[in-house]
Formats: sequence, structure tokens, C-alpha cells
Amino acid sequence: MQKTITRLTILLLVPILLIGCADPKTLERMGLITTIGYDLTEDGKILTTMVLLQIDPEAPQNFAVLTTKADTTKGARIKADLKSPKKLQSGQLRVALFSDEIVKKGLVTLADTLARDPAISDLTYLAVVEGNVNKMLNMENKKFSDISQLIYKELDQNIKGETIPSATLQEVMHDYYSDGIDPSMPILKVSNGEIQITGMALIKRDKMVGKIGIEDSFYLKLINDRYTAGSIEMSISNEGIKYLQQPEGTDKLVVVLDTIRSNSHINLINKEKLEFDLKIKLNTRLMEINQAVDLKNPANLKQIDKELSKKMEDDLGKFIAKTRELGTDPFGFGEIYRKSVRDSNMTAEKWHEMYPESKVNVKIDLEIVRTGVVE
Amino acid sequence: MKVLIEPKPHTMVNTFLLFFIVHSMQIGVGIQGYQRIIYLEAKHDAWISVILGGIATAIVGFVMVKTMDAYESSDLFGIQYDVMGRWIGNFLNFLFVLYFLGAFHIIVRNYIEVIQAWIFPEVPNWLLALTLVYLVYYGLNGGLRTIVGVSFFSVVLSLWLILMLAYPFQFANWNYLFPILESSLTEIAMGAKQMTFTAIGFEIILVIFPFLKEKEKVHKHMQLGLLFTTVLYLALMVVSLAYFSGGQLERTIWGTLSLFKIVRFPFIERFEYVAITFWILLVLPNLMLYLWAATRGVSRMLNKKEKKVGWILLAIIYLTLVYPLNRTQINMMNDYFAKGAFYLIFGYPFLLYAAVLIKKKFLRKKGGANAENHH
Repeated sequence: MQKTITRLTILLLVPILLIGCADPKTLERMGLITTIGYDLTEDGKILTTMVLLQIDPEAPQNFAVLTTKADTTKGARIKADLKSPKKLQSGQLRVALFSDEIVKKGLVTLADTLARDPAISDLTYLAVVEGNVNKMLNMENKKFSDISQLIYKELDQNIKGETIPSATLQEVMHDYYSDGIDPSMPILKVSNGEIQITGMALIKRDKMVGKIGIEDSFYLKLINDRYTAGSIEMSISNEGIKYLQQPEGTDKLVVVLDTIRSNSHINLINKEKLEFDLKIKLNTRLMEINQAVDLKNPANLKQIDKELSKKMEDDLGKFIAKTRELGTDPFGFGEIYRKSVRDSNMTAEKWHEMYPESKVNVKIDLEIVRTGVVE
Repeated sequence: MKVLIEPKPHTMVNTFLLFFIVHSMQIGVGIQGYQRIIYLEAKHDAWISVILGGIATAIVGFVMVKTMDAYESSDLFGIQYDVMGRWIGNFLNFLFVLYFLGAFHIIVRNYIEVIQAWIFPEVPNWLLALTLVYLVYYGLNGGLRTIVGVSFFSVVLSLWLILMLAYPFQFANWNYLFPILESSLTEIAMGAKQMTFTAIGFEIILVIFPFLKEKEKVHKHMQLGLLFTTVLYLALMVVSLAYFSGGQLERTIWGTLSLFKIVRFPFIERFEYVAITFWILLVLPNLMLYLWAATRGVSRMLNKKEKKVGWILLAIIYLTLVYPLNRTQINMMNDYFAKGAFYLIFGYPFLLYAAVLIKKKFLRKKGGANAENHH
């Protein structure tokens, strides 16, 4: 009996000791950082802006913004702690924003501190802000109560809805440390008091070298991922198409495609001359068309398929040419090369020299499988 | 020392449990980050190294069981004593005791480091070590059957963790596995050698053998346990290679835990915290069995009561654990230990088996049965 009691006492003592020793994290005393933004100041330091979630029900707004200037990001964090009534925690970080100025100089040391911190999730979204991050986060916004929620939801919704490629911390670091692919990140911009996604930043190693619009972002996603949804608006020429009514004004036909199913294949067909075959197969649904086209006529649909394919091929060709000029490969052709050529000893530098010399044959096979519920 | 051991029937365990013992002994702290050290040698062919390592464990496991089979019911300590004589035999026994204690120390060290690096940086060594040591004391008090029970539950209760691999699986890019066999055979073999730290543990058969009920089934369950571990390591390695890019994997200390970083549930956002704390269940059978083995060694050599020896060893090892070490020192210690373990576990058993065979032949000439009880 005596022995059992002693044992029970010890057994109880251990968890009590353990619980007592860990640093307690009371929610009300924590300043949860939900968004962090980095700007470059004129004197070369880093201006860090943090948006905190306020848990106080009596607070006038449910977020607070802290701004600090320091040489390192963790230094900024320490300074921010000096300003904050609550202990700052980064476990709830959802979005990290970088001004385009900073990304042009190099992103990796900043992204690396995020990856190094075990409290920060690998699924944190990274994005580039055109202009000043600090201004954007301090923006007066009457439509939404919480700016960090707004930015997070906007990115999340568009990435999950497959309008733009995903750029989480894991994916950006993955592509940065891979030899045959370069990272890309969505660009946010404030226009007319609204925060808008304007496209993707193209990054070479860790430096931003250019940007693409939303349409090209769609193509980038088309090549990199297997599409299961998503939609796009496209305009094509109306050659060879029979109309029900006389078309009004333009000779352009604009269609909106959605519920896209696609798969893409990249093959290296010539090692020496560096030639790739890029084949994309798309099955889509026609959502909207701006002219009264006779969709019952199979020849018409076929013609639209053909024109759309051609248009996509052209656009993609231009897009690839653009990335070749910039010397950055967001598609991962380099990975295909490394995979197909034995003992290629691929390095990022080597690939950045080789890529502009490469040739890509784009072949699109688009088919409209449905046209909606009315004809 | 008595060479033959006759354990009382109520202290013996069913042989099918050997599967769980072997598997739980192999899975420990090594699996948390073996991907990187193998990748550094064998690059994206690391998975071949894992298979090679698995084959090596199967061969060594076979030799070990064969060695034990040569005696009716004895353990490593008795056999070495019998084959090599009193001085050399006891010296080797002492070496193995040191090895078991070293393994114990290394496991606790690494586990504490993971806890401190990922979750509680502020919790002191002495407390975490005390908790683990206390739990081991509990197991040791219960005797072998309790310990085997712990290893059984450790395997059964952690099987669901394998399902979590489905998350990184979605992000996998299989291109990273090609071209197959790009690394040279030496590099792949060096990678396999790096598996040592992750694969050891099955040598427990050398001590536990006399306590197994059906000796004729030992081979089968030993190999099944080893096979299961190899398959698990292989799956994990393949997923890691496809999920991380090369450069990223080179920088990821705890690959397996980083894989868990993207698992997200509606009710728990950061799954790796659960995984890391749950790991204690995977580590416990290792600790208990290693300490039990060391205790057996010492008590057999000195002819002392097991319980007392166990407490004393536990107290001594606790004192060594309190001394703080930094990341580099821990890494260095792991390296040295793995090097030593490589010769001791993957080399020495062949020597021992040869010695046993010679001794057997020599004795048969004289017409005596092997393994007489000296003294």
C-alpha cells in the first residue's frame, strides 16, 4: 500500500513538473502575427510590418499593425516586441509579403528565416507587392474588417480556385533549391483602394526579373499542374464560323471556358540542340460566348476548338519566349532535361545559360466537351 | 558466468512478438532525419541505398539468428564468454554493454534535441531526460514482458502515422527520382552505409533470444520485422525524394518531421507538433530494450541482481544526459556512434559466427556437446 502511494505520487509529480516548466502561452497575452510584410528603406535596412490579430473584444478594430526598422527580420521582431503589449507569436502566420524592390534584390535570406522557424507553417503564402507593403497594410479599408484576412482569403481563394499557381513557402523554397525550375509568386497591387492580384512575379534564382499578367499565370498553371477546375476568358478570330445572326461590330469572338481538365507533358526530343515538346490536352466547358454562334453545328464547334488551340499555342509561344529572354524557367524544363539526360551535372547557373538557347514546340489539343444546358 | 540461460516459463515471450520487437527497435530517432545523410552520398538514388541497407540487415539478421541457434539457449554475453574465454569474452561483453548504453544516450539526446528545436526551446535537458528515464524505469521494473508489451503497442499505435504520408504525396513530383542509377555504385553503397544509424536495433535478438518461446520460428519473425522496416523506410525515402528538391533536402535536418509540416486538419492546424510528441511512443521501446540489454550484460558479468544493476545504470546514464551539447556536437556524436555501430553490428557478427562454428567443430571432435556450463 505504502509503495503504491509513493509510486502514484511520483507519477503525478512528473506531469505537474512538466506542465509547470513549459512556457505557458495564454491566448489573451499573445499577439498573433497573421501577416508579415517586408520593405526596403532608403538606408538599406528592412522595414518590417506585422499585422496582429486582436483578441480583445473591446478593441476598436480586430487587428493592429506594428512597424519596425532593423537590419535583420528577427531584429525587427525584437524591436516590435518592445512596442507590443502582447508577446508576438508567429505560429498563425498566413501570408508573407515582400515589396517588389526587395525581391529584385534577393528574397532568399528573408524566406529562409521563415523556413528556419519551426513555428511558421510551410503552407504560408508568399506574395510580392507592387509598391509599398507598409502602406498597403496600413490602408484604410471600410469593406473588410481585417486586412490580413482579406489578403489571405484573396490569395487562398484564387489559388484553390486555380486562377493562379500556388506559391507557399514550401513551394518557393522547393523551386529555389531545385536546379531546373525557378520560383514564381503572385503579385498584389493596391488600386482604387482595393487589393488586387495582377499576375505573377518571375524570379530567377531568388531575384525578381519580370512579371506576367493573369492570362499568362493561367498558362503557367496549365503547364505546371494538372488542372481540374478554373476558368479563363479568351478572344479568338471568327474565321470560318457560321453565325445565327449577323455579328455586331467586331470580328473578334470572345469565349469563356471553365471546368477545365487538363494534363501536360513535356518531353526532351533533342539533347544536343535542346528541343522540347510541350503537349497539353484540355477538356473544357464553354460558359459564355459574346456572339450568336450556331453551336448545334459540329463544324462550328470544331472551328472554335481549332482557333482556341491556335490562340493558346501562340500565347504560350510568346510567353515562353518572354521567359527565355528573362533567363528564368518557371515551367521546370530544366528538371525535364536533368531527368532525361544522364550525368548532366545540372546546376542552376548552367541551366540559366542553356535555357535561352532552347526551343519549345507547343502543341495544344483543346476540346469543348460541353456547352451548357441550353443550345 | 553461466553460458546457458534457463528463463522461467512465465518470463518468456511468444516468438511472434519478435516482429514487433525488431521493428520497434529499428524505428526510433534515426527515421526522423535519415533522408538527408543518405541523399548527401547517393543523391536521388538514395532509395536504392535504402534497399541495399535493408538487404544488409536481412543478411546480418540471418547470421545473428544462426549464431544463436548454435546454442540451445544462450545470449551474446554467454556465447562470447564461451567462445573467447574469460578475459576476451568479458572484454567484448563490456564493449557491448557500453554500446547499448551509448545507444540509449544517443536516442535520448536526439529526441530531446528535436523537442527543443521544434516545440519547447525553453524546457531544460534535465527535465526531459528525467521524464524519459522515469518511463524507462517503469518499464524495467515490469520486466521483459512489460517491455515487449510496450514495443507491441508502440508499433500498433503508431501505424496510423503512415497514412499521413498521403499529404506530401499530393505534392510529389516524380521527376526528381530520375534518371535512375545516375550515382555510381560506390556512392550508393556509401549511402547504404549511412543507413546504419537508422537500421540498427535488431541486434537485440542477441540478448533476447533465450527468452523467446518457439525457437524454430525466430528466423521467420526476425526477417518479417526487418522487411517491414525496410519497406517503411523505402516508402518514406521515395516520398521525400519526390517532395523535396535536392538542395532543399540537403538543408532539411529532420526530413520526416518536415514532411508532416504540411498535414493540416480542421481541428489541428500544425500536425508536426502531434507527430513529435507522439514520437515518445516510438522511442520508448528502444530505450527500455537497450537498457534492459545493458542491464543483462552487467548483471551476468558481475552476477548481481538485475533490478539493482538497472537502477544504477539508469542513474549513471541520467547524469551523462544532463550535460548539454550543441547541434554540431550531437551531430559529431551521432557520426562516431554510427561508425562504431557499423563495425559492431554489420561486421562483427560474421566474426562471432565464424568463431562459434570453429568452436563447435573443435568440441565435436572431442565428442562433447557445445555450450557446457563452465564453473
